[in-house]
Amino acid sequence: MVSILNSIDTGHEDMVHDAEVDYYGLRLATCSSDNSVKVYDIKNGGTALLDDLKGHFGPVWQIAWSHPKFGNLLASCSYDRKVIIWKEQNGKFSKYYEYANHDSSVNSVQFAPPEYGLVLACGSSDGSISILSYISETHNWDAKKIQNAHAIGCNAVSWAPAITPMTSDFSQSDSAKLVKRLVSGGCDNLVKIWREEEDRWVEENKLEVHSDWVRDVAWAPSIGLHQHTIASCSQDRRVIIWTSDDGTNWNSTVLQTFDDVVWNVSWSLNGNILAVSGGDNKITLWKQNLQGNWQCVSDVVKGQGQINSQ
Amino acid sequence: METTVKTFIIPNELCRRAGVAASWLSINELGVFGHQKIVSQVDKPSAFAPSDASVFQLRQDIILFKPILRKLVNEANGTFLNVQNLTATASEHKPELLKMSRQYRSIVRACLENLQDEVMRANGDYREELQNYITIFYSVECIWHLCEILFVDAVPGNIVLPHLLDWVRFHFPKYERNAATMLSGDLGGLESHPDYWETVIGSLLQGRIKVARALLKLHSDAETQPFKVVDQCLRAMPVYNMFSGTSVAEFNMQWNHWVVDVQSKIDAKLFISCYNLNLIMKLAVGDEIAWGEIQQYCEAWYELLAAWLFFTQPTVKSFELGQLAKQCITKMSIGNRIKHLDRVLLAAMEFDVLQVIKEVQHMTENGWFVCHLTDLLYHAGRLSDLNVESENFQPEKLRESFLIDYGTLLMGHKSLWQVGLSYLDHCPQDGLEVTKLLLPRLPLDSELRTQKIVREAINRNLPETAQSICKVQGMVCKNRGRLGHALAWALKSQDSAFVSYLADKFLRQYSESGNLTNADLLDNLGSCILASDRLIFLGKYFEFHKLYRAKEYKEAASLLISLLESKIIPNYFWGILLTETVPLLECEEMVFSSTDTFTIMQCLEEREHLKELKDKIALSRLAATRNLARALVHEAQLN
Repeated sequence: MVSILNSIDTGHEDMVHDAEVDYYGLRLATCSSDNSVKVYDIKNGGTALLDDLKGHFGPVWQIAWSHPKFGNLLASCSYDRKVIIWKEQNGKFSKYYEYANHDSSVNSVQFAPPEYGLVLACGSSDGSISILSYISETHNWDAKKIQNAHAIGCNAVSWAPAITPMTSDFSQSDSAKLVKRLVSGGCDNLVKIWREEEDRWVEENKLEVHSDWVRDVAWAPSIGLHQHTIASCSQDRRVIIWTSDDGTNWNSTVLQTFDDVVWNVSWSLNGNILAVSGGDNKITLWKQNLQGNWQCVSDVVKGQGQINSQ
Repeated sequence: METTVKTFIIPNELCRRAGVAASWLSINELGVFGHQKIVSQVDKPSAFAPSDASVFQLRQDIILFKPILRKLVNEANGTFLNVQNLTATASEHKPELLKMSRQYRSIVRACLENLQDEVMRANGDYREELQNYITIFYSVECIWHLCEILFVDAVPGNIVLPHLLDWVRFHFPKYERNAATMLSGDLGGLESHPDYWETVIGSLLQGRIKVARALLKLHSDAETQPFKVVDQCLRAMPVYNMFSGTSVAEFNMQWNHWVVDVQSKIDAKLFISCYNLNLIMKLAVGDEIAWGEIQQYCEAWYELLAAWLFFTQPTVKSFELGQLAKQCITKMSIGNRIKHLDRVLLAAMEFDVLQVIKEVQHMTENGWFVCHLTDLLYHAGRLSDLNVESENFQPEKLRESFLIDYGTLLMGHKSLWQVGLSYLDHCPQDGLEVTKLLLPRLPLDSELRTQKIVREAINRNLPETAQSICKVQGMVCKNRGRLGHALAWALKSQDSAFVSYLADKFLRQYSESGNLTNADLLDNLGSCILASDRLIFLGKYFEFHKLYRAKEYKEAASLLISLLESKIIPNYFWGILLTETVPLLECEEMVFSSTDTFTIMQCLEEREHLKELKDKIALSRLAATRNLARALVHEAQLN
């Protein structure tokens, strides 16, 4: 059985586009077409509004929490072409940094794994991806841009977990360098893998299977050192699971073709369950069995027009 | 698998109209909200505005988190760890493993008793909920017991019937209970009791011959001929005992003999005067019609199976059970009404271990059962001798997948996370990786809890994880203005930039207030002081203060000089440090040599532009010059 632990009335005046909890799952941030971002304390099943963040002048599409070791930072991106990083102080959030160097709506923001420092990736409808890195010596943000990452626009970005590449057993883990990678999905129907090389970002892979806009991509948290897994979903109604042993050669498996467009894919904390949701009003949960096949373990369906009669 | 997918409905109008999106919230929770991606983006309200915008926090029902089942979780963990220790150390552990299996069962039994007590007191929905748990754990107990007999216990000669009878008696205690009441009550004329014959036959079916005879003796006609003959027959009934020295062949001969004898007595119509006696004897010789008649006394097919085997195939071998079980199910014509519990038991009797595990997975106790049972069967070697069609079947992977799921589930609970960890610890392949992902996610509610979490990380040799958690706790303390705690955590995090940042805060605080706080911590830095230059400076400066307060002026002075000569003085601190020289220069006892004084004077000249020295510089110079004079005279005398 599944139960609704809590039904949080966000008080947004329009549709919610993203809902993310902080690292510990104690606070929930939501963003909406009503241009605002709200933060709730959801500790112990409660719902207390902590702050209502107003700073965007257009629908806010996505939000992301930083790792707590960088303090409590929240990034938001909007149709107003801006990315705002908010900083919490005693439960209240204030604008910490604003990045306004995109020419169109910014659709996706994701903080990198903390091992890379405080780094944020942003994907925009102008087709480019920005990578913002905080330089602690100068207290400044450095921005790098991948131009023309996706024709017509980039819809989603997701970071690869920080895994030390397997080198010979003799080398110390310190000396093995972490390679920064991220995956993006766009309106060119492509899923692309990017790798940081020296001081710039290069396209490492272009994964072509989807036949319509890619709406979400999610790089799975890594268990075990050798396998990378990415889930992507698209308006072609399919979810594809991409796997690779070395980060360079990728295989694709179609998880399923759904009844309607698929909007979101989300991995559980240890990457063992994938939640898929979309236009068919359904959330389905998927798990890989021991034979490596993906199976649906549960459906959560919404709707049927049963409005609360109370 | 498809048939087991369950669908749950969240009634919400926006979700129905727009579609939904979901994102994981915490280990076991999912956030769901009505959502539709805007295809052609424009800066205006969505097609659904204004709309209610709720986020639903969903979680699978986790009955294991109910306080009443806490004991089950904790005690089973103890046994689980014992099993791991046992199999890690002993090479021949089968007999011990059986003990562990019984331990698990007694934990389930205790849990059931506890639930039964509680159900008496409960009412309403809670009562129903408890009833539901009782059903679940009754099934668990029943399946576990059978699996123990078939897969864990080494039954000599594969003669499984005595164990099966034990199993049936344990799970269908009605007849035993009734018989005990009857035997302990008034003697004689027992047949007036409405359950008399049912109890006699029921006892016989469970193989309790002595009990049945005792009951028959208390019938008012016990002294009549038919009763006496029945008693004789039952007394003479051969019962197989593998330790008696009789071979199976010999026993079968005796058995056939006995059956022929009883049959001849039935044919001679010796029991015809009493319907029930006749029935009993017909059962004993396996008369199909008679067996058809008494099926009503059996609640379940396996109860009938054990009884049927007792009277027809007492030396049945365990590997023959599957076939016979199916016959019993057909006999009772319940093939189409077979329930989950029946399916699992049948699979066990067919020695289809994988099917058992598969079915057990879908029980609703959140993986408690499948995790512990699979682990036990794995250690009993029951997973490695399977003929599995799939080539890459690895028993250790199967075991590990259940352990990881169970451990992960518990990691999501505020106070059961350490129990969860202990399961992950015994997953050689991915356990540590999962721990690495989940451990840092545990909310740091208090310093005590943080210390616990850090200790667990260190115990598992995860220094980076420990450091990262310390850093976060340090940040929390810093934000609360508790600099001392923050510094202590920062040191544990080995993040030198953070340590420097905090040391700086201390120094600035001092430069503003003149107070050095957290003396204890600064006094006991030990080798930690090397974490950053700024901290070295802070530590040394604190030491200087201590010496000065203790009036050890000479030592204080030499420490001050070495600080001035070092390159680690923060710019904002020069003023303070140079001011500190004045009282020492003016000290009654001469504490600076001429060289020292030159050093001070040089520093003064280099820093004369400093604002904070502006009104002190003249005084400082004067003090330095006077001391220089004193020192030179003194040194000249020495030479």
